[in-house]
Amino acid sequence: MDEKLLVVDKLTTSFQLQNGWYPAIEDLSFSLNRNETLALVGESGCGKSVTAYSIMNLLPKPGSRIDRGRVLFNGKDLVGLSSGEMRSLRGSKLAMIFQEPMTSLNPALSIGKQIAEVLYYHNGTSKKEALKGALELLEQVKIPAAANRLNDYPHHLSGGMRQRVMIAMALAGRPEIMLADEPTTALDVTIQAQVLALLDDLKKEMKMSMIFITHDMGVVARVADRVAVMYGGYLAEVAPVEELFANPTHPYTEALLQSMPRLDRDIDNLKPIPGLVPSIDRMPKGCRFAERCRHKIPRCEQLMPELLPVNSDGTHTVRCWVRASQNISSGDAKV
Amino acid sequence: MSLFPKAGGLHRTFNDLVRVFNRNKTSWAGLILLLVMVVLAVLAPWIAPYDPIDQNILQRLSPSSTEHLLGTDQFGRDILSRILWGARISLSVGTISVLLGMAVGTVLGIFAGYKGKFWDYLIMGVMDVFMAIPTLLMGLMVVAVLGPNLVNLTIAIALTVAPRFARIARAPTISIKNRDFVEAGRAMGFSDMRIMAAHIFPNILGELVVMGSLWVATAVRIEASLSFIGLGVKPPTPTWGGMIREGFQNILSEPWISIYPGIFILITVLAFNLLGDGLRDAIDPKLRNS
Repeated sequence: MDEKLLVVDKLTTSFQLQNGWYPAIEDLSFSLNRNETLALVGESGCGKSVTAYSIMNLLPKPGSRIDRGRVLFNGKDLVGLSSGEMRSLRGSKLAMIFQEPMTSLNPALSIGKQIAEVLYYHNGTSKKEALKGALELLEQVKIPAAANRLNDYPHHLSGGMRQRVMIAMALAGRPEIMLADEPTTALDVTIQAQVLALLDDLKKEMKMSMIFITHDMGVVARVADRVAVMYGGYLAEVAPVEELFANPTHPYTEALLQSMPRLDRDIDNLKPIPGLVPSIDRMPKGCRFAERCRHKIPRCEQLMPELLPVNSDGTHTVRCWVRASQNISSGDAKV
Repeated sequence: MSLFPKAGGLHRTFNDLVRVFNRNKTSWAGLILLLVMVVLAVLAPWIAPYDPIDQNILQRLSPSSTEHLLGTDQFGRDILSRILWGARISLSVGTISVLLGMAVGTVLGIFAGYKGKFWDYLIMGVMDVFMAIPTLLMGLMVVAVLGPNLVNLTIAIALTVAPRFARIARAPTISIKNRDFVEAGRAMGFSDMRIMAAHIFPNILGELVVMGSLWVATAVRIEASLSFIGLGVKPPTPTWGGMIREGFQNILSEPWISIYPGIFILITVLAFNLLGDGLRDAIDPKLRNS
């Protein structure tokens, strides 16, 4: 259970702006265990998607680059792989689904063909076999009357159905890791719940691990085993999901939770987080969140804190000058 | 005629095509005229009343009669027979040269648009040079180098068609390559070649076919022009353009020798243009959903 399937080690990815290269994620380190769902959480512009694209080696070139760091998948570093080696991993061992199901499918090909294509491209099965496999996959993602759907084009399907088709394509290569980049953000809530339940079932059924990118704490509570909260290209806090909701330690995590509407709280208590994530060419020197933080002390604006454990077994880590030291006792008490 | 390949881009629009054709009756007219031409050309060996190169000096320059429906030319050859046989050459040269130019131009255009930068400059630069050469001059050059025959005529026309299709293919490629489904294709591990061939190409196929049908009309005209100035197929093989030229010597006294093949060129070009307009309406998304 605790085997580390993916280790991201001090990963730094930069983007080119008019006047130079600026890091969008910096010294990012985390790991993903087998059969685990890790949620990457944060608001727009904090580096969640860049992380996923860096892992998949799908960064737009030119204009972005991985400066340093390693991405170890089953012990093999993905950063230095040739494009051919990386291609054979993408879509088979590593799969990704995207935010926009409306535009992520090819409008000119039937969905059966699109799924079958992944099968015969990666597994070398015959086209006929691949179509049969596509049908099985459509049934697996619970598309009703799948056999009649094979020849449908994407514009025949609703958003939720299209996202199911995307998931079927991602599953085609029997991935070990599924990266889901806000897969439910564009769907309405009832469909969102169905898709999340489906992803959870499939994960168990196919023994996948998942990196789930979202900005929605409600979704996090539903799917994640562990949560990594990102801010300004850094990890702010990493914790098991129950621990994070019970004991949010970083002021940013706290603020995120307070800005989320909940049934058991009056809506007047919603607290928006003032300000925006600083853009990558204007990152402050110290803690990235300092300027929006209610608890900041002078040191926050000068020095970036380390990611330090706040509970005894070290599963809950926080990058904060104010909270890291304070919380060690309460963290201990939780365990 | 592969106007309706079963690939996605068109397959999808086939039902819409029928609907738009129904609304736009002239495109049915184009399609029917074209089919009639093709059937006539295919059946030429059986329905042509005479051998198209058989000379009959006794009956030279005779006007329409029951014996020779469209009359005879200065060698006494039956004009109807020559037109039917000529249709085979005119239609096949027109179609094959456009398909050839379309294939080459599309591959280059998609590649240039997808790769961008250096390849884009290089390929489109060369294409622009080709486009700058007038069609007849291109024909003249190719024929001067390779000699006048059917194959070289086809190549000459293909060379003038290819750069047009490179442009037609390149522009939508540039916009499609940034669409999400191409990104998703990369995330599925597809190679650039596969993305170009299996994902971008079907999306621009519709436009290409529309332009193709319009260009066949032009190619038929170009073939006629090149044959007219003597750069096409060598006599006595009948081609429509060549027949017009041969009739020119007697244009004042026996105009039918030139006029009848001219009418067939007119009908064919018209048919392709009507059909192309219909296809364009069918593929235009704004018209498709209305």
